[in-house]
Amino acid sequence: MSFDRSLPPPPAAVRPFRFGRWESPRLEGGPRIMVLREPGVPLVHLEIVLGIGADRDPVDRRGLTALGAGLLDEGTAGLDALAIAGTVEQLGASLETAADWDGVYVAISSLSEHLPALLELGAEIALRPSLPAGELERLRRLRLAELAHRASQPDFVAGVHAVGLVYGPDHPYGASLLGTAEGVAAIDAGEVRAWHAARARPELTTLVAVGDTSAEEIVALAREHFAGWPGGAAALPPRPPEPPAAPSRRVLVVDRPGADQTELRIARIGPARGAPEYLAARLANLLLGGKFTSRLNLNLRERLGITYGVHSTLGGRRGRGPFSVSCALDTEAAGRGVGEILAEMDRMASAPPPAEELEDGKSYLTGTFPYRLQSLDGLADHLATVAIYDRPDDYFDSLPGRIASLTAEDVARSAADLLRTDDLAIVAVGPAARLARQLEPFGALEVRSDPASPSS
Amino acid sequence: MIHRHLDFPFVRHRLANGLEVVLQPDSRLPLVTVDLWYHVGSKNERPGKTGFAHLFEHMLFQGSANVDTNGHFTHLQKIGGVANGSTSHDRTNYYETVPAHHLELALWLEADRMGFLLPAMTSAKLENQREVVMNERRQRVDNQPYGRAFETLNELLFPAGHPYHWPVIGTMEDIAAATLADVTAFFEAHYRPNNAVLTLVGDFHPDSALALVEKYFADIPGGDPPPPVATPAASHAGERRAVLEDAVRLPRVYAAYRVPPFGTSAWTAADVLATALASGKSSPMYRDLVYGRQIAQNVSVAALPTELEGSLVVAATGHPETDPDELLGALDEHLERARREALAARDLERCRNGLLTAYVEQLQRFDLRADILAQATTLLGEPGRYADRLLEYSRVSPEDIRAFAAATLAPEDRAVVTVVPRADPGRRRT
Repeated sequence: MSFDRSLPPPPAAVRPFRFGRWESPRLEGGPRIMVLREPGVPLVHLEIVLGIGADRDPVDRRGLTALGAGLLDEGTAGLDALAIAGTVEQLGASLETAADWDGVYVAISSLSEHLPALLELGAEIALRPSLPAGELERLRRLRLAELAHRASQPDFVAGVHAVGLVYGPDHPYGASLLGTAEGVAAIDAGEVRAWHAARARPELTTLVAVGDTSAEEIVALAREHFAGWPGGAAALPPRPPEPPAAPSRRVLVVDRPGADQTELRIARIGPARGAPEYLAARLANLLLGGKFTSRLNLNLRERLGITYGVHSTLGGRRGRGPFSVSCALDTEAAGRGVGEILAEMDRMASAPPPAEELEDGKSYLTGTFPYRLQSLDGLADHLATVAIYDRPDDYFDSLPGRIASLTAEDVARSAADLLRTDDLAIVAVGPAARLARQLEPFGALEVRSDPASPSS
Repeated sequence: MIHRHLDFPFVRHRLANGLEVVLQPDSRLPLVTVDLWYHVGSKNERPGKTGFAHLFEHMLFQGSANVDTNGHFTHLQKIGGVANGSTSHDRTNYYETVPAHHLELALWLEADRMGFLLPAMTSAKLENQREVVMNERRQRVDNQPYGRAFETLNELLFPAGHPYHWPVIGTMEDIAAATLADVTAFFEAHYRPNNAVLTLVGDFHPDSALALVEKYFADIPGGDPPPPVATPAASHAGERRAVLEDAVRLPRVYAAYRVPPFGTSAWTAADVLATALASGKSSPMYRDLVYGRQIAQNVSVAALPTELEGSLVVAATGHPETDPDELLGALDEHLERARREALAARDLERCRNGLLTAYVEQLQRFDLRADILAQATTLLGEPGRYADRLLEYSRVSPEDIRAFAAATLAPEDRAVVTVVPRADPGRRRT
């Protein structure tokens, strides 16, 4: 068969994608309910969302929300930790409790024939955990060991120092979600009970159900298991403060004398997820460092070969989360790498992207959207964001249109704001003796010994 | 019971040039995954040329006769495609999930690099990707806590000359020494349609999809079968141990055993045993080491699905003050019991439920389902053999698992690697 292979073939007729219709049945005195039927698979995925996360942890109790979320499935009124685990495994279910800056999540899934048992167990764990003091001690010990382990990972160390510089000691965003050893060590059982009591209220809670089920079935079960729910026994902690104004550019080297490579973070404060310019900022970030063919990756990896990969991210939180550029690179090329990253940020901030690059980025955002919706948990996570970020019901339907309407000027405007380089925090974890001279030109340089290095 | 949900229809077709094609239509989402497996991995390398299969995977993203350098990603990302490649001991794959109306673009791209790669290869591209891969190795292995443990474990588990003896990513020296002549020879020996399986899962009609596959792949010539992989008969004698000092805070121990290959019922017994011992909070190892004695921060057991033979790897991370020998001793008590006593029927049922639900959850995703079909076709010769594992899960008895453990998990024939915090953080071995 002979034909011209020199040009890419044109697309066939578009098969449009539409986010599934979900139902929002009301339950008096109960949580917000969202049900998305996906009858094709014999599975059901439930997610119970408590809509306040780690951003209200006191700064002297950093890690409270993450530890509290971990404790939810360690005991309920009727079941101890091992009985919960045993029930989950007999149902062939997977159960996960998790937390991020904006919420606490109890996700449980299995074959839909087990739905009543799954919903009951999920409700007990999310709403009526016993938060036993003995389990807290056990979990605290595990968490402290995990923090010790993370402190040996260069990417974790770089990330923690970067947000520490950007947000300072008084803002919740200035540390890892897992908290600090000091914070985790200080948390007591009464604080965990108060933490839960403040969050487990009907007006802050959402029950998301996706899969082989129906709104009627979910409401009937929710009526049973979310009934008699006192809720709201404790006051909510205050909202986090506004992040501090950034000083001028700073460079921090965290010294690891023998490291084989240098881990780099370049960070500043980004926009809140609900900000009007957030979508334009996402697109600017995508073009800069959010995909393989981004400007940063094509330059530092494909042109210079000094890294396995470089990417940039937006925090995407209720508050103004961090924007950051990350990579692990040749120590000898660290100065060059930082120079190139700053130059790419300046270039993106100073001129609108060419039309083709803009259109490619927009179709990437639109085209990859359904990819993340292949599984029930992917769908449930998206529904949860509607609840957590107060998104309108047509959020996903209107998304392609909102992406399509972004202009090069929108991107340039948001990039000019997002990608300022005069107030960056630059953190390098690696051998200071080889890094200091390379990084001095970029700002006031501080070298810290790595408190996490063994025996230092 | 659960099986009725695991049976999904597929179409299999073999082109005249030897390319195996597996098609599995599903119109739940307007997406299609194109997953091209080549039956070549690091096992096809030889000492002194290690890391080549993986380096080659990078080169396949550097353009071909009709696709520019990085054109593969550019073409796919501009239409909202998600693409990557991966290399293991046994096979290398290239995959993309794209909006369904761009199926033909994905096939054009994969066919161009299967049929027309060499005209676009240059030493400048190779030089660049060698640097990238050396940075990948530093990032994933050398500068990563516990990063060298796994390659040390395989080095001890499989004797010198065994195709699993060396790491998939290769040694720094070998990566640095790769030449353009190596690239060409490797391509010609292994990147042929008769050594590949093309799997499509998603929103397409099988007849028209097959016509497109024919259009782009049928005229790429097949070649000789790749050279056979020699496996030395000789085994190590006795238990082999290594202690690594690393920039870590928590000690970790690994113990590995050689088990029969993926696809055998003994391998599935290993898979069930791994799940029974350490998967989930009610598993005996978790209950004892993490929950009860609290000498471990985590514990895991996994059966690795490799082709020449499998391996079963047990690993546990201690607390800062845990004595690694005590940790290994505690793991050994459980392994000893597994050799002596059959599982309770209830525990077997728990594993079965967990394994099957995890499988059903994977099947939701087009890309993971394509991998399951491609794995069965590439390693076992038949796409339908993906179901063997599921049948075996329901067939295997507690006594089968005990007999497997007794026969295979011999402490006198295993590799043990212990990673301990380095005493002097300022000095590293080079």
